[in-house]
Amino acid sequence: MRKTYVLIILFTVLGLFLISSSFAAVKTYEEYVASLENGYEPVPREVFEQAMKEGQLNIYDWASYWDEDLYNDFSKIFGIKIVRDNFANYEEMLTKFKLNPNIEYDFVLPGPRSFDQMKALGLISKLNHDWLPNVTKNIRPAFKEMAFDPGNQYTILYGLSLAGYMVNTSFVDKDDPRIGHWSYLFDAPKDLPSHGKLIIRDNMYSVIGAALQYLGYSLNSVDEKELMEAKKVLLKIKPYIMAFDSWPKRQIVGKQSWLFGPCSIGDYLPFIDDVPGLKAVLPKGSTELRGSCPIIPTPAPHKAVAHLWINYLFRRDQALKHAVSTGMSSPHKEVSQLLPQRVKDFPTNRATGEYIQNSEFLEPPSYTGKGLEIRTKIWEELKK
Amino acid sequence: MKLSKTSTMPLTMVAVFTYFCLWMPVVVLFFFSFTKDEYATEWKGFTTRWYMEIVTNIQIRDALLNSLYVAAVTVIVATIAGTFTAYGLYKYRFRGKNLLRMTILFPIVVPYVVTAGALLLFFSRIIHIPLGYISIIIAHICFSFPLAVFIVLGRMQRINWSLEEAASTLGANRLTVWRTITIPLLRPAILASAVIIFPWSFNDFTITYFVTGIGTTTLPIYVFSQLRYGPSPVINAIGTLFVMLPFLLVFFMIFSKKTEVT
Amino acid sequence: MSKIKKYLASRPHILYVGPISLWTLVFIIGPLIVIFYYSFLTFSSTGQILNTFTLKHYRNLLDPNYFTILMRTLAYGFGTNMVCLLIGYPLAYWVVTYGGKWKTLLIFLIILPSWTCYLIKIYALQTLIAYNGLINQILLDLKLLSSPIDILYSPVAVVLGLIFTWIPFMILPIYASLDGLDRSLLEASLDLGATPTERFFTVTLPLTKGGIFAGTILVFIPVLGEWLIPALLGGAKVMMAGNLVTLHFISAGNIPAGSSIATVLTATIILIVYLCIKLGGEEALERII
Repeated sequence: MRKTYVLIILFTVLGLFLISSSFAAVKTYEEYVASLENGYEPVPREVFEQAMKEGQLNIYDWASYWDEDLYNDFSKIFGIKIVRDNFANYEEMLTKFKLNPNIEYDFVLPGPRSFDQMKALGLISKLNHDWLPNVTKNIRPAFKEMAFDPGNQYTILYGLSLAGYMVNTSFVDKDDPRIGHWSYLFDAPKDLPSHGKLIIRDNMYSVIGAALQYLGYSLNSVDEKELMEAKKVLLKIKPYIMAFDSWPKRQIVGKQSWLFGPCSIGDYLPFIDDVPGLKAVLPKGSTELRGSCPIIPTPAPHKAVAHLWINYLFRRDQALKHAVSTGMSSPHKEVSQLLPQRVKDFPTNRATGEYIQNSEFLEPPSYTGKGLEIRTKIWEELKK
Repeated sequence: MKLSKTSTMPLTMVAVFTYFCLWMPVVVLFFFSFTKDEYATEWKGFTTRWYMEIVTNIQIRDALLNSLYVAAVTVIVATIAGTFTAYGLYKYRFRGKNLLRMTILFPIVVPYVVTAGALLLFFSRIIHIPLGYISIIIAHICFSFPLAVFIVLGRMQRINWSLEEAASTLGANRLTVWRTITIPLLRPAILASAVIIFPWSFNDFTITYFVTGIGTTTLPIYVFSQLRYGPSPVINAIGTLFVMLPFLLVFFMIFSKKTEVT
Repeated sequence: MSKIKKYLASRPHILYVGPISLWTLVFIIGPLIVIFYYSFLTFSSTGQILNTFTLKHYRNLLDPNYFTILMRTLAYGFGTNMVCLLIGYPLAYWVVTYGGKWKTLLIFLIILPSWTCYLIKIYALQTLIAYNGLINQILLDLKLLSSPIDILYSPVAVVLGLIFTWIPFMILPIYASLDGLDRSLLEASLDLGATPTERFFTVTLPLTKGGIFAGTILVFIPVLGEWLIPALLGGAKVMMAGNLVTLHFISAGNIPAGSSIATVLTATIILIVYLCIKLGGEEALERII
């Protein structure tokens, strides 16, 4: 008798657990259009109806990167289930596609370099801009002609971020003249208390690229002499590196590390207020341009939903949420004026056009052929 | 056989120290699952907010359900398969018996990374099984049925098998003997296998990490992706629940043993 | 139909072990053969796997970078095993000798932490030994240290994590073998004039050889394949063989290179198991099977 009671309670709890509310979702095209705020453009009717039929969106992106509300609100508004899988770095993402070219993700978030590599493998399908009226209406002109995808045929740079480094000034001399240059990252650690508890990002291209830029060379250099100089710079700080980690949020917030780079400084915008003394630094001269390049893979089963999702991301409020949570420069025309002051003051949003012109994206020479070979060797030696 | 009092002290101290070291991280985890500090690094006051978040967060809920589903299927198939195999290995002599014993040892002896990588390669290039629930469950069964085999085999060595002979002499056919004699005799071992395999499959990370597909994120995989991106007491809360799981299973075992006696 | 029945009746074992044998062949032996085969293929610079035979991946293993990692893996395995033995044996001895009616509970308390997701345990350990983690804070408060010590992200942290995770697996077989000792043998040796120390080394230890070797197999081998602990506690600076395999399989997509390391690792392990069985006797095998 007792056993049955236990089972009943178990099943009730499980049942309550499983009931997910799908109230207040739009169900017809008319409801959808009527629910849109001023300035939001609806997708064409057939896209909406196809999306309703498809009913699911398989996303493959970073965990804890974009505001969770972006996903939750989309599900609530359209009643479409979002399935999210996460990768830890772009290499993992690429390998997953290489081993299973037919894997059925609808929306994937590579960066400019991995986007290029996926395109070379034929994994990306073209975007249908007729299905993306919000994009056409709101995209900033500067984002329309990226060198790695002119005309936005395959992707739209949804957010531009700049690489720099994070310093916790409560542990170091904040008047050190080297702060504000790459030299703080490559030269200062030997002088800092506990060597700054230096954490270096676990990304070969960014780290070697930053060393090259420190020396005044191009991020994408394939000149052996220049690369050997960069190697010397890196081997000099090797003894001071506490760890290689691409997402040391816990260490930075927990004050276990006082110097971390090279990284997308926007990632740490949400923590700047919580950690007194934490400063994001954009080094003078030039830096690496980074960003998210959302794509729809070729075998995606829910292409209509994917377009609906991208169209939704270009709504003003959603783009604003994204910009505030990631500290990235938004592709939406109106967002930059709407940013809260603390986000406007963040280095990424105060970078001048000239600085961005001098900075570079990762380009094919650095990740193919000789460029890749030399960098791999340098990286292996650094990590030995 | 007692040694003198003076020589027990160092031994006891080693023992106490070891227990302390083994349990301290878990205890600390438990305490920090209640902190108000959202980075789980300091104590800032008491809250059960993180446990509430486990219930409301859709991703955690899905991950939990996935883990339960995979573990349930694995337990059922692995236990049944393991019992049959153990029976065959114990009762019969046949060619290739030692070879089979050795091969069953493989998943335990070969490192997880190697077998998991091999399975990933196998599924994507050779047999083309789509990565997802099927691949994870197959992988889990591969690793867990040897456990069932060894547990049941161990038990079989201590049973009086003349009961089986007696039953068949009295005219029972194979199926009846199984139903009335064999399975009841092996029940403790079968239950023990299930109790060992369930947490094993539920907690598994490495193998699932290699062969997971879309939407099949299990709880350990979710925890791993969270660990890399942000500290949060929610992980502590999930961790504490993981620790509770074996306790619950132990209680279940004791409970069922008691009812068996009465 | 009846022919099949006759065949099965004369070979009843097929019904029981047949399905599993088939499964084992397809899903356990098959993938391992595939890995062995792939270790000889070429990995092109564009990231494709080509069907050309090459020994390049095996030659790379002699490269100082990889060789260091393999040696380090063996060293850690051996070191972890020794420490687990040196701590685990006394502990098992203590439980058997002084546990009394609490024996089972005490052993449960050792095994229980290892049932929790080991990812969570490592995470808990990580927060404990961090620069401003609990251990450093306590030692600072007790004035035993003037400044925090750096344990995390060093080889020490990795080995500590390895010991911490795998010691229960050394304790259990040793406990089982100690528990099964014939008391009369131990008493007899005392009656014949041996001191407790002599008795330990001449009677107890040799009789529990099987347990020690079983524990070694259950600790040494998994440690050789470890990749999570070096990754989380070593700060990606301390690489073990498992990390290399994962790196090649998941990060680089270089299956052939990963396969070659996997093959070498597996061969090493099979060798160790063989040695253990030869030295420890069939008894070690019986403990596990």
